[in-house]
Order: sequence, then structure tokens, then C-alpha cells
Amino acid sequence: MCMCLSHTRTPPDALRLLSLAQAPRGVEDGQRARRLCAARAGGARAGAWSLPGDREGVVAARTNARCSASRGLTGGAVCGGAPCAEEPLSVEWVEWRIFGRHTSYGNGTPRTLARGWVHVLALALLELMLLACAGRWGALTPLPARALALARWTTVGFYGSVLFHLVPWSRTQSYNAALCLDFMAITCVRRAGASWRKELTRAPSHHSVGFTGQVAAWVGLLSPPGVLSLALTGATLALCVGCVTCSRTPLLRPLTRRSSPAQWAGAAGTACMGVSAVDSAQHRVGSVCAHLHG
Amino acid sequence: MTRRNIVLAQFALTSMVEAVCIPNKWLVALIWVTKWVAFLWYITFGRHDAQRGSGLTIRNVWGDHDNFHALTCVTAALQIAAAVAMG
Repeated sequence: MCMCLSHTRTPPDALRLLSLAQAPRGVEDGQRARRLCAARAGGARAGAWSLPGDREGVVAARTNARCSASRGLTGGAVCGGAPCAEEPLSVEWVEWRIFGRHTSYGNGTPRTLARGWVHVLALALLELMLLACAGRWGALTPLPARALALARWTTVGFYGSVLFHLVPWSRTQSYNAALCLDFMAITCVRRAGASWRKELTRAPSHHSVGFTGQVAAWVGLLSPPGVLSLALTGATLALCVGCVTCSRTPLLRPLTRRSSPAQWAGAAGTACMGVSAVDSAQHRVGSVCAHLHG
Repeated sequence: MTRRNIVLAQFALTSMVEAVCIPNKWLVALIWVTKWVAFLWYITFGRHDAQRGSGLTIRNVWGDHDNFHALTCVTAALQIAAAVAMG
């Protein structure tokens, strides 16, 4: 059962969300959202979650995201900070049935259908190039290990993007975690399971991925650019961990799509690290209301 | 320090390293152009773009962020070409 809008004792957050809409229409939206939330509770198990061309499904997914946004990290429902007695939506972390076809992310943000598939195509081509460059087919002279490592680390960020964009993360928390992994694949860290001492005594090209891996492959991780890059990676990791533990979406406020160019242009000057769940929900409920009005 | 600034710093750092290390300066120029156009596209048009309506419309299939992805793919191909040139 959806907690945000259907509870008889309307929580403060829901009141704030509803205040974004015009009063008469807002009541109508609330009734509609109640129906959608109820449908969503069964729909998640029935597979009716935001498929292409399904207008109701899109709205339902966003409505559910509003409900998910009000949940804590433990998965239990909260209404204005207090635990609710009603059963929260039971949603899997990943909706595998709609892999690569979902029209909304786990936090309710719209997704175009091609998102992530470009990376799959690029990865296939790049991997073929890497196989050829590694001398597997004898057609090309094998590249030196350093150059091959540089090419290899270039592709790693694409795997993070595929993981984030194609896998239908259905909860805000799983969405945030996947988004952080995507960011870390771009800027990134050492191999899992290896000690720092061992890492630093290995060949530089084996240290890390993404930007840091590229810098390490070019000039070595212990060089000044390598150390600086590693420090920036550490800062990124700390920010991502902070976002996940505080249940914040690690998106920049100007990078969340506004409904009109004038709106996002107005917000382009602000460089905000995280968008709180309530802020995101406010934005989404505004979008949903605009969607319904439109 | 925001994450955007960190990513921007990483971007600038790799650009400088590429300028020093890649032997072919034309390749360096191409990589720079594609990666910085991609970054500017990213910060200008947003990470996710809203769909308009429903159904298989162009807007629902391909958005501004997909253009950014396409540019990053070109950048990656150029960087691998740079690796080949370096080898």
C-alpha cells in the first residue's frame, strides 16, 4: 500500500508534496495516486511496471518512486519521519523482466529507451578491437602491455553505465547505489580484494579504472598526476558513500531535468551535491501533476 | 567540493596527461574536442531528460543524454586509437 498519499493521517511530507498542485486538481491527483499506488502494489508482482507506451505505468512508477522516496534505508515505511503501520510496497531491488525496456529509473526519473544500449554496442566494438590489439587473431601486432591497459581501462566506465542504465533498479536505494557505482567506474578505485601495498608495488597500469586508471597507465600512479587523481577518486568515493548512507541521490541539481529550458537554465547556476529524497519527491510530484494536467 | 568539480578536475587532469603523452597531436586535439563537448553537453542538457507523452516517439527513444553517451563512445574509440598509436 502506498504510504505517501493514501494514509488517512496525511504525513507532513505528503502535505508539502500535495501543496505543489492546485487544490481541486490536487485532490483529484491524490485520488488518482491512491488508485495508482494500490494498482502498483499488485502491479509489481504482475509485471505491469512502466513499460513503453504505458502512460498509466509511467505515472504509477513515478507514484511508486514517491512512495519509495519516503522509505528509509531499512526498507520500512516512514511518514514524516515516523514509522507507519501500513505495509510498505514490496518491490524487488531489480525488475529483471523489463531489463533495458523500463521507461523510468528507480527514483522515478524518466529514461529513454535507447539509454544504455549505445554503450552495449560500443562495448562490443571496443572489446573486438581489444581482442585484435591483444594479438588474439594474429591480424595486428600485439600492443605493449601499457598501451593495452590504457585501452582496457577506457572501457571500464562503459560497464558501469550499462549496469546503471540497462538494469531496472526499482528502488531508490538500489538506484542510488548503481548510480554511485557508475560514477566510481568513471573516476575510480583499486581492484577489490587487493591491499594498497600490493597495489602500489604492482605495475601502474594494474591499479585502477576510469580516469585514475588512464592517468596511471600514461604516467604511473606514483607520479604527481597519479597521486592527485587518486586523491580525487578518494574524495568521489567519500561523497558517493555519503550519498548512499544518507539516502540521497548523487545527482547534481542542475543535471536533473527540468520540464522547460527556462526552468533548468534558471537552476544551472547552482551546483548542489545531493538532492534529498523529499526534494526529489517534490520535483517528481510536480512533474506528475504537470503530466496529469497536460 | 562537489562531485561535479571532482569529475571536472579529473577531466582536466587526464586532458593534460594526454597532451603530454600522446604522440599524435591531431589525435590529442580530437580527443579533447569530443570529451569537452561531451562534458559541456552533460552539464547543459542534464543527466536525464524527460519524456514527452507516451509511445515510441523519437523523444522517448533518444534524448539529450544519449547524445552525451554517443560522444563519450567516440572519445573512447579515439583514446583506444591513441593507445594503439602509443604502442
